[in-house]
Amino acid sequence: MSTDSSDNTLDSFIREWDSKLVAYIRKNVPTAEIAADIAQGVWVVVYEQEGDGPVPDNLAKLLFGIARHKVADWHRANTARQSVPLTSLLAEIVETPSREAEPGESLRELPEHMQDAFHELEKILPRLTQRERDAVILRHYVGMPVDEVAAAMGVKQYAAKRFMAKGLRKIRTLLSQAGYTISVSTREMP
Amino acid sequence: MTAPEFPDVPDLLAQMRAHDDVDAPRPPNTLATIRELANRQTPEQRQAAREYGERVAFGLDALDLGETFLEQGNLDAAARWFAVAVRYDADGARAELETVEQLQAAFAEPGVPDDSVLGPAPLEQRPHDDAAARGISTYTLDWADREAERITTEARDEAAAIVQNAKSSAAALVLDAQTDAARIRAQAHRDAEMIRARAADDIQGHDERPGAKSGTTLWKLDFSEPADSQLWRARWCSQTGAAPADLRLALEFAEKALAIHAAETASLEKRFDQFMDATFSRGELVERRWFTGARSRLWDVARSLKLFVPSLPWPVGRDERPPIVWDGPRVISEQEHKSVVAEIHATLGRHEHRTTDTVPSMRDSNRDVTVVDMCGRSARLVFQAKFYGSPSALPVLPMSEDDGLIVITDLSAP
Repeated sequence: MSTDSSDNTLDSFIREWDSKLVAYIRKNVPTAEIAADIAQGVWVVVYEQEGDGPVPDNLAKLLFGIARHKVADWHRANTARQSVPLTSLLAEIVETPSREAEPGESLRELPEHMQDAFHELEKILPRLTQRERDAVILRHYVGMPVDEVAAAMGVKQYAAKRFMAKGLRKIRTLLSQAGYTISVSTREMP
Repeated sequence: MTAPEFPDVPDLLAQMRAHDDVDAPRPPNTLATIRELANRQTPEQRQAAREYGERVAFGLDALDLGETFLEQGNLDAAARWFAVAVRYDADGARAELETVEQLQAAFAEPGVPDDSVLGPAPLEQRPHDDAAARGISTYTLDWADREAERITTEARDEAAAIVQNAKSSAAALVLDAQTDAARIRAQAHRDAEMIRARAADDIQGHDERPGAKSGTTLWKLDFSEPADSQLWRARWCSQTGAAPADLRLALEFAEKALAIHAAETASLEKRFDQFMDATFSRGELVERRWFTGARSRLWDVARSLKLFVPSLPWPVGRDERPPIVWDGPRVISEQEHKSVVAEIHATLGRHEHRTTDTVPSMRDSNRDVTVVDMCGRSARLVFQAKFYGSPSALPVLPMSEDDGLIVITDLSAP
């Protein structure tokens, strides 16, 4: 992790982890606005827990634990929307004109088969265990290095790698069972 | 139409992020903004936030404890802590609890020892037991002990079965080898019978020659006697003036006798380890054993031959009989070569044969080879020794040497 040990204040911790936290939450909620709101709520809880003093070494684990709870709370509070399939929800978001997306970057402009693949992926991710899903998302969607993934999950690095490998293997299997052809990647594991 | 090929999952997820609005510009959170948000809340809301964080932390700790006990094999403690984690809504805790409950149910099935048979109740721990101090239930330990014993017993039974199979296979191999040896022995007997018949014919013809000595009765030799005895008889034949053909047959006969002896005395069991290393086939082993035995026996034969050879009544130049034709190499011991050469000297002097410039001599002990041209006509007797003769005197003769033995080759070719 890139945290400077000489600057272990909550301020530096927030600066280092904020964008990763938002990206992780974003993958679990429909919009960036919702993700930003939830992230602020998470940081408030952390602030109430830790105050202004030095932060403990395992704070990333608590941070993402709180984030998972907040996301779950949001889904519980939005039961009506949660009952809608995620694919439909995603399509709805794409249709929403107010969605902040740069021209040429919206899902609507993706090739149709890629949209299908993304939708399939959205359906598959919930079939992974919580930890497999978290490991895959943190590593490949959020873009964290393995040590940060392990810290966020509160596990050893080898365990984080194992969750990633299992998650990727499951996704590949399920995608191929759904009729998609996946090219073999040379970068299997970080 | 072929289905389009998608990038691998990591690339697919990265593309998803690129097409999401994750990286859309937004004001970053800082400690100042978070503090401002917190200060805007009521004391009750702030207290609720602190309790929220404590619940999450407690749930994560309970989840960690459950996993620790699960790794130690303490299913009961693991189940209790996972249940606590579930109450505090720790992510993944419910799945872990279900896994542990399935394990507990599996261990309770018939065939898996339970505490009603083996000892204390599942949740009971012995107060001063080391295992209990480590948090490992006696239930798990007892079950592990039974499992270890069962695995050990199975492995022992399997090993015994393997040994039994090996013994059966070994017995079959020995039987095959003994069969092969019997076949070789029978063949040697048949060959020897043919030689004896030929010898009888030759002797009969020899006895009919004017002035020939009679009474050389190779055909009376007993095949059941040891090879040394056969050789002694052959040597006796030569010393008593038996015809060269008789002597040749005697040599052949001696070799066959050796083959019989080697086959009969082969101790296959003692060489059984050679079967097991499988470096050669069973047939090869029999052949190899025969060869080894025959060679060791030929060492003794050689001691007889060194007396046998010089006592030959060399026919060349005397009665114009055909030269002696020996079929193969004859082996004598290296230790006996001096006696051989000395007797050849005596033979040469007695018969006044012309010799080459490299007449064997004790003075030539620094030479490698001694060549004796016995008659200058058709037959030459060649001796190879390590320290006799001159290499230059042996330009063309085919020589053979075998592991310190001296090979004597008789060449009758012109």
